[in-house]
Amino acid sequence: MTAATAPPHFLTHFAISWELDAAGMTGGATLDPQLCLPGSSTPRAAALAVLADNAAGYVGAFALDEIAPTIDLSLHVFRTPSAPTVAYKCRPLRRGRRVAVLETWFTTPGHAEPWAVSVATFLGTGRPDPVIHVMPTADEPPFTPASELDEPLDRRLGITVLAPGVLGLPRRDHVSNGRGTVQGGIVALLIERACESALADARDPGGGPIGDAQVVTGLDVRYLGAVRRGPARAEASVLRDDDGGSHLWVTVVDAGDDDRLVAHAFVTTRSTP
Amino acid sequence: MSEPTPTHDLPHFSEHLDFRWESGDGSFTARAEVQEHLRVPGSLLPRAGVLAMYADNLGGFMCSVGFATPAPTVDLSVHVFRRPVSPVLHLESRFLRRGRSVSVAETWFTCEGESDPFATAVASHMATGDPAESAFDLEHAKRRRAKPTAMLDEPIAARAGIRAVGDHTVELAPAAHVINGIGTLHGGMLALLAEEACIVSLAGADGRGHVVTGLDVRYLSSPRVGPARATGTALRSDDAGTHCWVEIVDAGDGDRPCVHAFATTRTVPGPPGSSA
Repeated sequence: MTAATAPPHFLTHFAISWELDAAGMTGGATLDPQLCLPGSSTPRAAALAVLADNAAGYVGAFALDEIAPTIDLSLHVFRTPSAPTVAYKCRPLRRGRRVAVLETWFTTPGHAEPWAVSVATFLGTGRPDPVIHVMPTADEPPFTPASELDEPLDRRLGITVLAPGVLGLPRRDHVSNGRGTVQGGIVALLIERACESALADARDPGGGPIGDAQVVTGLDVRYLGAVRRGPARAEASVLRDDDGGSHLWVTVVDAGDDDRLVAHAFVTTRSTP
Repeated sequence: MSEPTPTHDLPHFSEHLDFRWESGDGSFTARAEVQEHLRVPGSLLPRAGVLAMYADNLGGFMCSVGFATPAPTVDLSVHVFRRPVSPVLHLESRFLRRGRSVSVAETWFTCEGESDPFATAVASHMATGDPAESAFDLEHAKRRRAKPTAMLDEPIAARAGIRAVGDHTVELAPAAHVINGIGTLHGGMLALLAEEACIVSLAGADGRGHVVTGLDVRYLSSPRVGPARATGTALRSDDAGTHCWVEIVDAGDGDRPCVHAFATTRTVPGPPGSSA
């Protein structure tokens, strides 16, 4: 019997490369197929949120002189990319004393027109975080080497379906951020999966696979606290669902910390043919 | 043609909102009958910018009382997901997060006689500093609440003073009837300006009618000189609707960026200004 090997950090499955300069960050990524929608090469919205939170987190850290927590992140996908390779640019919109607002545009490599945009806010605490975090450099790029996601996404993350629309996610090192808590984009991924589960059940109660013919195109996530103990538990409620798409409301709690509320989200989906 | 009313004689925009709010333990509630000129033409749906005004006021009051200081808005999002069935609304703001420096308030909009909301808003507010130096004037807000509702005889955007200055651009000058308690353009009014920029830019682009059903507004700094100038850019447009990106700058202060917003629209039959 061999000891279980800790999985590589989740961001290694994005094959990220980027450069930081005074204007922000220019990056690229090739997403593992499991980070795309089932049966397609279209990146999941939450996978983009993972990239946006990572990019904006670094640019925000330079703006605020500390690794600051994300307090909100919105993502708008307005065209459907057809490849898992994405380019992105992150720039500060606001560099305040305590608050930094960062925007990330996603494009197809070689094209200028964005197909998705994210905006995120970071709040400086003014107190150095005890977690030591080394900022990557060009010589020591982040989250390398890139690695294949060699098991199903849910299994790798430890996502479990507790009930239709209710999913759990344990806190593990390979999904942590620079502060040692669950990365904001991973929380968004849990939210996206909870929505898929809720919609699948709404359309086919008690059955049907997770991942109906609905694609998340809008995420508006408010991070209200950190997942310190875990597991995180997301519960999605359908506010409206029709032929064109749906709106859902999601709450995420730290189930290991007396169900403390840690995130709140509105999610918009569009129906796919 | 009559001369426009001097802005200093105009009622404050909040007096048009019929905004009867009450403070409670952990939440603030309000009842409002949304008058015609605050709604999408021919519809019971309040304009997204008007919903932002309600949410910014109610949630902002709640956060300000919590901090005991004025609490400027950091960001505000509005999501409309059903058509309202009545102009009489019940609003409830509650804390999602009650921090030392940042609080997050959620506001649900529900029609009279219904239990499920047709729209929601979420906003973050930041404390401005020491309560001893800049206390929130709750009594002033209560006095304004006690005033009778001022009826509009023109659309709220026109009354505010929003005017088109190009195919994709609208402006709003700071004036007494559109400012907040700290003397700058009210966050809800800036949301309405963003909504107007979106609609103007889309009308110029395709000639169709659009109703804004989603607003995601980031307040980067206050327009201090003015006018605030908003420019809309369509990012995607198809039969179902559009996504529009709006930037608001302080045109009197070197085009300093003030607001950044994304608007989502649904296309409606007919020309611009048609009903939802």
